[in-house]
Amino acid sequence: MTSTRVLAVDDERANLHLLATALRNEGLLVDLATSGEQALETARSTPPDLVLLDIGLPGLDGFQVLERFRQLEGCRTTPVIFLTSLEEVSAKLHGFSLGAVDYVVKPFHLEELRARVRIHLQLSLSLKALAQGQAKRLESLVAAQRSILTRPEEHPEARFSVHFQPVQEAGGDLYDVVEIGPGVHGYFVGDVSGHDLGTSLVASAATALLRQNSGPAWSPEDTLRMINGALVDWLPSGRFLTGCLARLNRNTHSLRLVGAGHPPPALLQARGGVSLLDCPGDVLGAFREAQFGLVERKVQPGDVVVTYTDGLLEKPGRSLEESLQTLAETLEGLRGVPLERLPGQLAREMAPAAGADDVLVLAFAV
Amino acid sequence: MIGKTALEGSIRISPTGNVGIDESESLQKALNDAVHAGGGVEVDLEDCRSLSSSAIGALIACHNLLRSRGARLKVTGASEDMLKLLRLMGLDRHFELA
Repeated sequence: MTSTRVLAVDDERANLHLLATALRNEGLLVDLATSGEQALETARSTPPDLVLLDIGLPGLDGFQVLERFRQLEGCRTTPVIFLTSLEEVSAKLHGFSLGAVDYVVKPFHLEELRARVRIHLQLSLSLKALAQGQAKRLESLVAAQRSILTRPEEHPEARFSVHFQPVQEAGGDLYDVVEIGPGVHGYFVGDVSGHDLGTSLVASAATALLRQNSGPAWSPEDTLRMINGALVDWLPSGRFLTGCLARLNRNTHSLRLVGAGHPPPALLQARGGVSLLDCPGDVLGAFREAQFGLVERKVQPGDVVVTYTDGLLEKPGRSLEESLQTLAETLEGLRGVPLERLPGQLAREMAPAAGADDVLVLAFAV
Repeated sequence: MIGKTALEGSIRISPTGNVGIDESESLQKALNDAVHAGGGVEVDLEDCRSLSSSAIGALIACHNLLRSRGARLKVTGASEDMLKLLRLMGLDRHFELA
């Protein structure tokens, strides 16, 4: 078990001595300071678990010390108890408004002080444990989200491969591949705005919605309309999702693309040439009456469709137009590369700004 | 940096430089204040180099607030590249691009 450290600050050495003895008898480690400056110095080198702070100090007073203490690494939520002979309510209120947890007026009874120190230490340690537990649960939720990503080897008949490089656990890129029926598959790539924990939760929700609203009874436009309807009601304003849903029917060699504010997929044609399939449409989750871009075309065995998120295009000093041009040229240069290696190699050759955004490339072959 | 200019019957908000995640919060706040002033809102992108997804989210949120009273967000000074991005995202059909 790690020891618990209390920092006591008082300019009267006799008081300090009394406090130190009482707390050490409780099994606590005690650091002493006779001025605010000295207290901040001590807290900087060894952050305490609790602070007993006198208000009437020479130099910085207790209020100023608390404000600076809160800026120190590891001291933002440490409980601070004011010890003072100031009895006015306004002083107490000022102390609480700065984030003190308790206020003890001198002269105090040592037994009472010890009890208050114990209670605040217990409270602070349980809050810390709770926060750590919640962070762990969220981490495992995010890990679970990543682990349920559809893997190419589990669906060989969908003939796809993926390169996915999230820059942080709170990234917002997502993809999924669903079987609609024999020879018919849906491929979705999406990107949630922002970069925080909320982003990855929205990504998980969008994946769940996609699976719930995919099937032979729904066209890809219907699927996106359903996802949009659910997200419009649920997402906070300012949050949205761009995406592209492709449905490939290998029986009829037809490809149907529905775009929701997402960069255009590329079609690497077996008979030569690369086309960017522009399908501009509304983003998801922002507008109730959304209209999506639609592209329908015949494809041939050997054609490869490449979908991706904008992280692939981002490079400082390169315009969107130039990036799309570079994408088409790079893809042409990769003709003949096996499908399972294509997304990774494309990402390397496009050399997007490292670490700036998630990079996701999903390719599927007709 | 987010500039603010009072025009006749509307407020012009001018984000400058690269509007990343942190700047998006100030942009959202500036836009909110502008909407609550009651008139029109114009976003001037003349001195704006790039817009993050969060910044675009702030523009959409502002537009949706304006829509609820029958107005639209006006966007001016966008570079060719930024116009391309706004069109790709289908926002040209929502915002008033000038």
